[in-house]
Amino acid sequence: MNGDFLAGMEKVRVKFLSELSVRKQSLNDAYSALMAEGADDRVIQDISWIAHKVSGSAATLGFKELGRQASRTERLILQSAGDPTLDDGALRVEVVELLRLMDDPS
Amino acid sequence: MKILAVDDDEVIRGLLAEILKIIGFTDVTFAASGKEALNILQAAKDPFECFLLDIEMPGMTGITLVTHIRKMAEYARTPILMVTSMAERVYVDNAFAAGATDYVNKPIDVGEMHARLQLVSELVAERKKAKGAHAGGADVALAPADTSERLHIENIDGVIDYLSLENYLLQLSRLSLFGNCAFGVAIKDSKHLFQGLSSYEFHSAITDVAEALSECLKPHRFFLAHIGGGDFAGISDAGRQFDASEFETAVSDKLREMDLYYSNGRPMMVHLAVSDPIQLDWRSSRSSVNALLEAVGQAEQKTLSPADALIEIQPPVKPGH
Repeated sequence: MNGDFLAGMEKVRVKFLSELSVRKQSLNDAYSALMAEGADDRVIQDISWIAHKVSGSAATLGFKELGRQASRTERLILQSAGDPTLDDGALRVEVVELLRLMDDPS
Repeated sequence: MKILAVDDDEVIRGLLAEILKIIGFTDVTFAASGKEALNILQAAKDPFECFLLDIEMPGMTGITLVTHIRKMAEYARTPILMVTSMAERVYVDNAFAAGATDYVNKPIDVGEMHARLQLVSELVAERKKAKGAHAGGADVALAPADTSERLHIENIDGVIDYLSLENYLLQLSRLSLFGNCAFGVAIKDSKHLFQGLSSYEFHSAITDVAEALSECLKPHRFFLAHIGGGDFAGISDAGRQFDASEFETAVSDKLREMDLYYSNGRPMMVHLAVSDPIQLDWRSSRSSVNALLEAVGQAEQKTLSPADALIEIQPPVKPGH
């Protein structure tokens, strides 16, 4: 890997981390709504969207565990799409873990 | 190679820019949405030679964008790589059905991206060369057909290019090949049947056969590609329910119903053979791709008359014996 590439990737990494803090705030809000209102469609969509965004870039930038957790959260939502018996408990566990890793992605 | 990359995520666009630069692709334009991409395409003086598209974007999804791009004549065959974290089969199926050439999973692996784009770049260069060779010559459609060519067939459900079929199979093997089978189809005596045809006539005949095959493969999920001459390779999720002789009869009936003719009005009698299905359940990715050609080989064997078959399997006679 040459120096230009590493410097370029570092810039992207800084951008990712600054967006991650915004996304973490949005995920926190969605989590609060999940706890208060249960798994309504809008809340689920918000969580799925944030997890999707994080999973797309985290692992490529070296945050492998964060990427894996974001994918796991997104997959759980996709697999239970349209299922009225979606297990809120399982989703909460995944979101809490995702929030923890977003707090400390390294 | 002139690339248009579309992703709504600024971080991914930044990542792609760095990755593409390091692997040697510097002529890259970025768009943040399907709408912006279409505007760029309309304004472009020189056409793009490759697309990298995200799937999950607000407004217009990457799959809808593929269908829009494929409707533009100059982009009917341009390689389109989906770069996405949507790994579920439904997304893979829909992307290839819409006209995607390949599917790259996020997180992006730099080595994998390099290998895929290298192949695409070679393909683009080959096509440019072929286009240059035809330019200024006689009308290509009326020129004698090169029947060994793998034809690009448009607007028939499930019919895609062979390269896309291989890539689809490689992608599917990452998920699960269970319940899928490969099959081959060969037109009997295709050499004589297509002898002396112009490019246009050959293309029309192959398109008609592809249409009949597509109709008879429904309602199962399938993809099918022409692989040169009178041969087709395909994959179907009919699995163990795939009945080669039943399919062969259905296609023959369909072709009779379609009533095919040569341009001089002479009826074109197309008979074909279908291989037994090769179940892909536990095959590796490479071995499942090989199964496609194995199946076509079997179908070709079935097209031989008993006398031809005997000639085929006779060992060479040594001089003096």
